Amino acid sequence: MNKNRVYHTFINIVMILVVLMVVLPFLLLFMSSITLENELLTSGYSFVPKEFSLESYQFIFRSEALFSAPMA
Amino acid sequence: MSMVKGELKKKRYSFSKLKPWIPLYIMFLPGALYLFINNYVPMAGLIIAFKKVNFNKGILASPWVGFDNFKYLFTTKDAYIITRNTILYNVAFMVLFAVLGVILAIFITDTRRKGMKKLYQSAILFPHLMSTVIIGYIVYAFLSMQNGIVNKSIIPFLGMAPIAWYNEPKYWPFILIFVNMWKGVGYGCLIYISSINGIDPALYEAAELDGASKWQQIRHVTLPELMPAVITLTLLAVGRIFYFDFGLFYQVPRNSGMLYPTTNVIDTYVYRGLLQLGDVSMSSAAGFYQSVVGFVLVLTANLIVRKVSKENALF
Repeated sequence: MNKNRVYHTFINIVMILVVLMVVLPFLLLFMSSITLENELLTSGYSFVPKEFSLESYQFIFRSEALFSAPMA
Repeated sequence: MSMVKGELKKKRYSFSKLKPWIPLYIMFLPGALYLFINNYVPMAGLIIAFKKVNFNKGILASPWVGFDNFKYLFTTKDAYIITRNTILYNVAFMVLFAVLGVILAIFITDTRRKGMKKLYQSAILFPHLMSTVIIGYIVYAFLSMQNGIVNKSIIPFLGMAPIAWYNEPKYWPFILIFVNMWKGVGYGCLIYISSINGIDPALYEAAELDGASKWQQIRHVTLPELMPAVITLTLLAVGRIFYFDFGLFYQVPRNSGMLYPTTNVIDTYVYRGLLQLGDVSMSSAAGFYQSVVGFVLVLTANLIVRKVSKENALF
């Protein structure tokens, strides 16, 4: 029984690492989407941006291209 | 006269035999048309590979050059590099997909809590649903020379000098294999999970009664029962051994010229040949070469599988 416990803990640790490996990149993607453009250029990508900005979202929703772009 | 009559009779006979299947043939028609228009008609374009295309004259009036385009392709170093890259990457992908997929599938099915099981399953499938362009951008966010999170945060932390990832071909086999595993392993894993769930629980009970450890149960019950699924998925991968997820080799390395020695594969070579050199004939020769080798490989792989286990062969 004890052996089984070790096995299950091992599985959970490995799988949680895998889940983090999947989630973190997308978190980074989302975080950089709400970071001020200039900050990306000067201090680089980071998980905790110093200055938030929704400029990029305003930009894509204002441009007509988003609604007329062919779905690929 | 009697012969004609006999033939008529025969025809009517075969038609009546065909009749029950007519709805199926009608259902088959759109797919056949699609295949014909998209896959068979363009085959006529293969003649471009044997011509020196001059757009002023048109394709049909352009002069024939025989195998000159192929000769040119094989005398440059490119042919060797793209063939080597294509085959090595694909072999690595096939082996790792099978191994990692099976390991993860075993782990996930052995997870006790239902909620966690669902979380793990969805998490590993998630990247498969993303476009390669977006994945290329994520890779860039990590590896960019000035702004990337690796050069900015991780490498200084380890006390090393920043690395110009997009200029160093030697890292890219690992990066591309990692990215492709990260992106694609969930798909095969789902198939393995469903075949593990289909294994008769009595087998495990018997093994446990006999005192088999967890590892022994995996080795002697799970793996043999999984083999048919692994073989089928790997066979399908062999069929595409000369084809690639184009985005993985074009978007993810950001088309960086320095990386060609390790990122150029046949698909990207054909694309760049068309886009940059504008040489239609050469690209089409490379494409033809790709199809022929792919075709031979599929036939060979299928032949081998048919020899080993007939029911797993594709045709």
